[in-house]
Amino acid sequence: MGSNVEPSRFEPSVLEAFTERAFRAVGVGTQDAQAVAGLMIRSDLGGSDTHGIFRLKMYIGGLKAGKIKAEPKISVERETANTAVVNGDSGLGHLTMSYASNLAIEKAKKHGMSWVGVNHGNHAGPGWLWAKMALEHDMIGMYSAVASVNHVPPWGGTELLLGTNPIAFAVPAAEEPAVVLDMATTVAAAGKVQVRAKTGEPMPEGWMIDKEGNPLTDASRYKEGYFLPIGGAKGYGLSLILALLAGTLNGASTGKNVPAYTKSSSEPVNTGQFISMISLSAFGDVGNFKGEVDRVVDELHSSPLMPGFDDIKVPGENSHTREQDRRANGIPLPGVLVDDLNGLASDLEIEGLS
Amino acid sequence: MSDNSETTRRVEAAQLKAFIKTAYLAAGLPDGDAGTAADVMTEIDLLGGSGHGVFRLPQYIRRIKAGGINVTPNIHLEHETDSTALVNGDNCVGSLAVHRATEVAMEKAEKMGVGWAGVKMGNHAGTASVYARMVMEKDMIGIYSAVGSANHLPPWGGIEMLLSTNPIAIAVPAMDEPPVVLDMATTVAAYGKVKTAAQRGEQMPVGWMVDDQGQPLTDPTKSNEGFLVPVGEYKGYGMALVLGLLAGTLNGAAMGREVVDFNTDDETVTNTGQFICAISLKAFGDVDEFKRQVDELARTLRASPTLAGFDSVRLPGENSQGIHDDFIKNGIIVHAELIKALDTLAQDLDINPL
Repeated sequence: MGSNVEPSRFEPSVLEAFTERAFRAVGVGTQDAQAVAGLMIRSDLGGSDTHGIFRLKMYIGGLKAGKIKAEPKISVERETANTAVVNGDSGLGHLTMSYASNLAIEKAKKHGMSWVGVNHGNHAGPGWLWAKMALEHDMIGMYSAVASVNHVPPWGGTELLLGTNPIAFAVPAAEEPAVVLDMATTVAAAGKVQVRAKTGEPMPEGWMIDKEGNPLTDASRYKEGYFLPIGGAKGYGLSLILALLAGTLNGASTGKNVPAYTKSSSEPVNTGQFISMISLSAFGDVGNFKGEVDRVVDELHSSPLMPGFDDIKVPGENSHTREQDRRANGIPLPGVLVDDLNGLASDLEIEGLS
Repeated sequence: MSDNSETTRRVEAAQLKAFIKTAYLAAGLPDGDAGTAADVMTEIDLLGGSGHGVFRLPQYIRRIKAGGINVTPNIHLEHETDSTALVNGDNCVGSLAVHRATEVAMEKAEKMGVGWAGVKMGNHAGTASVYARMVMEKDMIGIYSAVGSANHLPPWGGIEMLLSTNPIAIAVPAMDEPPVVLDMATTVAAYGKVKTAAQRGEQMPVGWMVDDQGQPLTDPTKSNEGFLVPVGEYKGYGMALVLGLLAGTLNGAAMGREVVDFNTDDETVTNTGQFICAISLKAFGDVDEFKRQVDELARTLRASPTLAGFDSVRLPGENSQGIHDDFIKNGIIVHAELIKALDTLAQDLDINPL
């Protein structure tokens, strides 16, 4: 077999079954294994190549090392009518976030909106996965997380004290695909830099700086530099505020309590997240709202182009197109990743991918 | 008249507030509303938001006289749930509707844990952070955003200005440290900064604006031939869009092509939208413990080593806090040119000058 240049395509159900087998082999219960596998493959379907099955090896490593608990006791630590703090007991991040998202939806249905925070969570895939939970309930979803490692110094500083803390929003539309923004607060996501480090392609100026503050374009040297926040001081401010909302407010880790990405750690990280749901019906007619979102999207799509651009896209559109392709034609996985997963399969003595 | 070399004057906050209130009364606002609008405007100047405070008074009054603002509005709740409200500002002076929304959001948060109030039929309401900061008085976190009152931003890849620089402000209380207050436009540079560079005859750095071919624009006198660049490029565009949907569309307020340029049009009803969200700290844990942790993170960041070319690591909101403390003690700095404009306004309204 070996690594092909052209990535092979896999049926989502095949990848789901594989992921489930892997989790079960390290002691995760059938139901949990199934749930997490489904959510991870949904991330791949939506085009988040570095946040789906790509992370399986990392999660299995965490489970084996005891950094992630296979059988967590997820609990509600605090609760008001429209808020809650969920303690994930260091289980798989997807389980805690599923619990928190469902609770947030329930509360928003009753009370118009809700806000649920998480402590003792773990890496839970792409932010849009949780924000989009809102859509089928005619709600707007908002999600943020303290990234599980620190990649970013404060603006003007050199110590890695903050994460690329992402924020995601999902806003329902009528005929158009939903508007789904999912962005890290740095210009380049860590995954993008790591890909360039492997391919040797230089990074554009503005992604990273070196220790003297000069542009760093050689991706293989990325551990010697710093990720730049979007808009300089603004992105730093946003990352800090999201750390306070997703971390500090929930009693989860921020700042020095989060390990720098340059160091490895086998301790549980106490990852914090939040999810907020806003029910459209609390503000007026749902159909009207969705029609208006369509109108704004149409205006953007049909507006004149800047030279050098083929079209104007709305956030979430690329992911939507990719999902349609992948549902029809399967999920492409690069040969290196398939080899990696098959290596994992033989370690765990489970059936691999063919 | 001899030329005075002094270009600024210090004005006591109380004196400025009284002047603003008198001006609003002369323009036909009832006593209570004039007082509230004066309070908010003075607070904006105290925080150093000079482009959004009393600087805007002549423009607001001009709009009132042209019939573009309703001086005796029926500000009311159009929709309400346990946790949310939609405030209809009835085309009032902008700060009045947002002030009401802020009070409602805080009441709801007090009862429920988190509260969210949207505004429709509002107007330009000044600096975003002034409202987010009000929420902190009750040991709450404040989040505010607005649809800007003129479209300055094309979608990413486009050249039609369909979006505003929609700002977001988030205020997080601390214990002994100044609160962490982020107040950012979704563009790299605010329009005010471009105007200032033009006045001073300075060039703009690459990255602030592009021309209609997408090339860097550095001559601020040519700003009307180009576009502001969003933070993180397509990311800032996505943020401006989503905040526009939350602050505008969700509330039935103007968004996209509907947005009226209030700088050039004094008559058309703007139907400006805003939202404010209040999160009660006590819903999530011990209030003092939270504040102490914010202090700790702030101190960690400030004490961390600096990058070459930087004197210190700063926290968002620190500058404004410093200005506020100075202005309270020594008076608000007002430029001579603005004093002149306010003197003219006083003459027009037949009130005592500042």
